[in-house]
Amino acid sequence: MKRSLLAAGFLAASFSASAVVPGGDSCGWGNMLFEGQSGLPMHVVASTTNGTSGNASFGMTSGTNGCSADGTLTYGGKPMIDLGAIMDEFSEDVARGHGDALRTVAVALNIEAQDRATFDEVMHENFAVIFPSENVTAEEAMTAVLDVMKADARLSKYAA
Amino acid sequence: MSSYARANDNQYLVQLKEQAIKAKLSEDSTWRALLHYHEDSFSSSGYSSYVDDADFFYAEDGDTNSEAELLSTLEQVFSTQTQGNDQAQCRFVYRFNWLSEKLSIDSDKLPKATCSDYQMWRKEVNAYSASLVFPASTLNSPSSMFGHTLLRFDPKDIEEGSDWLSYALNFGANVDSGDNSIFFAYRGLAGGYPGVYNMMRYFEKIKEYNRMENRDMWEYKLNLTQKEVDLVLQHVWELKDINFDYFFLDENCSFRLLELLELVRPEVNLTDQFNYAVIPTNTVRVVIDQGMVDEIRFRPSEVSVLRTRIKSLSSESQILARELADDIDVMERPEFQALEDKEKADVIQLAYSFLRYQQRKVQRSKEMAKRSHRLLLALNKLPSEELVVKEPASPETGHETSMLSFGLGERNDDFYQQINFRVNYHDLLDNEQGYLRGAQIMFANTELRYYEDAGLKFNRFDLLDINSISKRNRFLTPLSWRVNVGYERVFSEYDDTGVLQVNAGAGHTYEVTDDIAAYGLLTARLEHNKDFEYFAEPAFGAAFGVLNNTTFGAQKWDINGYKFLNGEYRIKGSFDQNINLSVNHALRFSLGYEWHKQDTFMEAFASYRFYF
Repeated sequence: MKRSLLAAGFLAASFSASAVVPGGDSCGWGNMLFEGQSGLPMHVVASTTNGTSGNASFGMTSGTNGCSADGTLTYGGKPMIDLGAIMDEFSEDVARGHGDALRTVAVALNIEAQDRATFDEVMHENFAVIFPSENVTAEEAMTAVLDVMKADARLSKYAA
Repeated sequence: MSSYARANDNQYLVQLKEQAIKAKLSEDSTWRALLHYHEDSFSSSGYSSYVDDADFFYAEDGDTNSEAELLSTLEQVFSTQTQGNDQAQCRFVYRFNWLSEKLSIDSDKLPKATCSDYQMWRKEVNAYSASLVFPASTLNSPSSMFGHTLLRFDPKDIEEGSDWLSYALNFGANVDSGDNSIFFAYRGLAGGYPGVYNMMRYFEKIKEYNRMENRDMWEYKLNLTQKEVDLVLQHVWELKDINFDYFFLDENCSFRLLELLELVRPEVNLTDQFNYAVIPTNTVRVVIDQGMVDEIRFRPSEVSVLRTRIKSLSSESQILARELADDIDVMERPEFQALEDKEKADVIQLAYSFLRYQQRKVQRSKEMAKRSHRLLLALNKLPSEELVVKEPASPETGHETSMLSFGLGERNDDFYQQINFRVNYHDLLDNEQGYLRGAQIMFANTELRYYEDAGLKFNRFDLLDINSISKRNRFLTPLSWRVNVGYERVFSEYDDTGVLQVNAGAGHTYEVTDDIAAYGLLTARLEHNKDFEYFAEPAFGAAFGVLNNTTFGAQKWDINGYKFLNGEYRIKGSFDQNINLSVNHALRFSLGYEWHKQDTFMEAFASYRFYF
């Protein structure tokens, strides 16, 4: 059975060759934050070839997990990019209060330019709320992000 | 009435077909580019398609018959047999639009097709501008040595940071996961894999290259108009899930992207400039030369960031950070407590970054995850600033990849002239601008000599010569290694003998100063020499040296010796100095002294090198 070679390079994606159900348990959620890598030999092959394997994505499906047909997930009823794939980078940026991953999440949440600084600051102040332990899942973290936003006067409208 | 007309064709379609035949539309260069035709002397029509997939052609012989494919496409555009997304109007959007325009097709006479998949995809990809992305090579991954290229499509309001959400278009071999690298290289060269296009979020590519493979990325913003970007995507849609022949050297990722750019901007000349191998750096160079690049962005790899962090700290802080990465309680120590907030943050950040770097290669450990989390908690309470990684010279500013040199030398009072030709790529002493310091990769390096008394001699041929000098420090402990396969002339007491040999070595390199690296390797060699008793004799030895990258050119001091099981030994001490005259011109001087079991030799050589 073929499996996505590149998936070996993704942190929060528990990719497997088995079929996944949209929204199901094996949908990239329930992964631990600070996940390590495995399957390095696979990765070596992937990198040698600039390659892909059988199920090449085309921007229509999520390349990191088979969660959904269009690469988006729903948070509180809003469709959004699968953040499980960048949770690792996101946690570091939240801790520091700046960075590309933080900006990416802000863009994905449609946060307007004038509220970006507020978003960064609010996330930064609430690091321990969003990431209470090393075993937090991407889904829990995302829920906390939205809760923190709802509690902020300027950001609540984006989390409605 | 042409023979192409069918009984069930409506009158309008018949008329369009005849119009197309008369106008010789199938000979139009855009039509041929859409079908990826190239000259092919084995084909009866004189050309054939790079596409190796029946799904891409409506005509039985569409891959070699341009006119048949055009007429079949026309028929399918008018077909009512297929509906919706499978209709030719939806599957081959570019072809359909192009035919509509060329033949002024009356849209009222066409069957209606709603292309919901295509529309949804276009909305999702949301492309306004495009960048050519080049993940540079990295020292300890030979498979990355020539780099790779992909395209990124950005929306109109792209801002710093949100390009993570843009879509990247990648062309690569579609491989069986069971294959290992060596087998891949063989199959890739031999064309054993189909190549396919795929698209994914750019952050996946950033993670793959910047993080997993530690490759710096260069992004060249193309000055494609919105119309041209639209056309590229129209055609990319036609290539969804379509298999191409894939060859490592010529019909590779870079060639395919050049084809796409040429399709939408026919006045540029990109693919014709490559005769035998398309090296991605040269792709970038060609695209720049043709005036298609607006600006260049550098995205450092995780290891570049880590090295920058290490360098920015004092030796004491580095030691603290290294210990903190292993033991969270270092934060309780008085010497850590005594630091200013900013220094504390730097130490924690370095410890964390180092842990993340280590984590790339190991299974998650509970304990390590806990430490990582605690470091972030501590970092969260301290001030943090954006790190700026110094941008190196971009790859396309480096010397050209082929090299020719002319030199004069003397070997034990025997004068000679030498011509040296290297197909590609870079050696340790070549001008390092745009290249990775300490990485040598040579293919097909040939030396011909003319001696005053002995006449013309074939001196050496390196089929492949890789040398990786990677500096170690408190945090990073890469292996340095070399591999060389080829033919060389060995001098003995009365004579000289051509031998075939393969040799390899592995060891460590240490930083003396920023620009000086000292290396030591253990080496092994296997040699086929007609003067030896056995077909192939093994030898073992060691090599030590110093590489100094000065501003005017690199120099190397090296001593290298090995002894065969049959008792024969050779030791060579050498000094080489490169003088950079400009990017593509250099002088090279070398002095060498050799001790063999029977004899000693002295050699001096000076040459002029030209890169093209």
